[in-house]
Amino acid sequence: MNQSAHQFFRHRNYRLLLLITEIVVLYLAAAALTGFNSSAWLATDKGIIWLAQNFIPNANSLQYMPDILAQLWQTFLIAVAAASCAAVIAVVLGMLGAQNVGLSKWKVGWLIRGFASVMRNIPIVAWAMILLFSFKQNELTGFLALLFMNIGFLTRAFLETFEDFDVKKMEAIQTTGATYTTSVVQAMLPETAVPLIEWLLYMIENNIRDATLVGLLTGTGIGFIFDLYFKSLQYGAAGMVVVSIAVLVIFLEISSNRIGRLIR
Amino acid sequence: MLAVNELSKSYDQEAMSLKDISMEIEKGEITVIIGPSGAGKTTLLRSLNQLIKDDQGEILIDGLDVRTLNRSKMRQMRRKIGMVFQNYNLIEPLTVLENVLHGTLGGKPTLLGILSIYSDKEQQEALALIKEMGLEEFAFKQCKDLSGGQKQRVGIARALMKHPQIILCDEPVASLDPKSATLVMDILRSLAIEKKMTIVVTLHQVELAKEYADHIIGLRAGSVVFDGPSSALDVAAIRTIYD
Repeated sequence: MNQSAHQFFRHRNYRLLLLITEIVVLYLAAAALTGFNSSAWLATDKGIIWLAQNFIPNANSLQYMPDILAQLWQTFLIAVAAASCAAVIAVVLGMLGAQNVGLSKWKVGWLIRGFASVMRNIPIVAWAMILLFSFKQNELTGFLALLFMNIGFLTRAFLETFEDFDVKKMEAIQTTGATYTTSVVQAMLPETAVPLIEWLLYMIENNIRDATLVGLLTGTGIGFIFDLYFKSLQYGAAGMVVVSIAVLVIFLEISSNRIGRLIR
Repeated sequence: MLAVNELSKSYDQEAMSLKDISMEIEKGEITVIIGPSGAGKTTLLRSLNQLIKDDQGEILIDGLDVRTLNRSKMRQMRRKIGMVFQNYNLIEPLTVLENVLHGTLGGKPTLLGILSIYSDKEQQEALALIKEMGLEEFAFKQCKDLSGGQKQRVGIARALMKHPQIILCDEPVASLDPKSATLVMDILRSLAIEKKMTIVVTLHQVELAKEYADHIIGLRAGSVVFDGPSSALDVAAIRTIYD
């Protein structure tokens, strides 16, 4: 017995050692292939100090606040609009695609899952760049990029929420003679409303983070103003933008927690 | 009013859960179906409004075989039959009033149903029923905050909203304390007497069955082993059902 415990741990240690060796070899191989100079690690501290000296907002950068706030507000509105529109579409798609309540005919469930997967897995930057060709640089492009990604994400999230719903709860409404659609809407939506709203709030938060990247490409919102300050070497102002995005996202996170508790 | 002829149902090939059930249920009576767990009480009750599809036999409601109805005829038939569940099956995040109004959904086009559009008359009626059930102070409260007995009364009010001729109750008091159970059974009795409704109840308490039933049907292993007035349910009959 002791013997086998001893062997077990020795075997485990070998495996751990092997794993660490593998990671080191992978790093060295990747560095050699890409010509990455490992001594760059030694300069990391200098880089961070430079960042801190230049990007920390100072009194001077406060004068940019009105502009930043205006753009932040616009970004917030686009994030909310995209998430809300996507939520309406996702509720319908989710209901049709859920295995317990949706259409079982014509493999609709698989089609909707596949569609959601494609929409969600195309990176937001790719969406923005593709849409730039047709819609040029304006708010609509950013809105559409967020909308498409959100439709994919929320459809998947809603569909799974709906599949957790116990269809027995619909029975009572079906026995009144109500149609199937009425029963689903009247029983399932109220029962799943809380998780649906929580997903929606998460999506809005996420959109504000993504909007920075999208705005950089589409020349709108908070991403645009960041790019502008950055390229004109006003690093303090650019840092101010980063701080305001972080503050807004944290504020939203706190309020969505509050809302979540309120509606439960 | 309601007649069942040679109804059989099997969940799989070997085990028959209902075997050649025949029974007659009279208007304005309380019929109680009793029997040990697994005897087929719930299956029988749910076959009556086709929540469970049976394999063979006839279920006649006012002379019409419910097994042969198409979907829209079935919906019309279901409007005549209210149902009350052991676990209440309320939509808990909604208010008492909204749950009671769900009883009207059967008569509505899908669009009005989805949008929860209820007429003034329906709203007044729902409030009156809630008052009748002694729940007026809870009308605008969420159902999740109610006690079991209160939830079951909401369930009954919902069933009454569509003016049913028959009310099917699937173990309506199994999750309730004795006092709430008596209250619910009293309500069912008054519906039978005052509104001449036909009530079919499954119960597992023989005492309650004897006290409230006009007519008792005893099931054992999917077959009817007792069918008679509650006065005829003596010790020998109870032993045939349960032993």
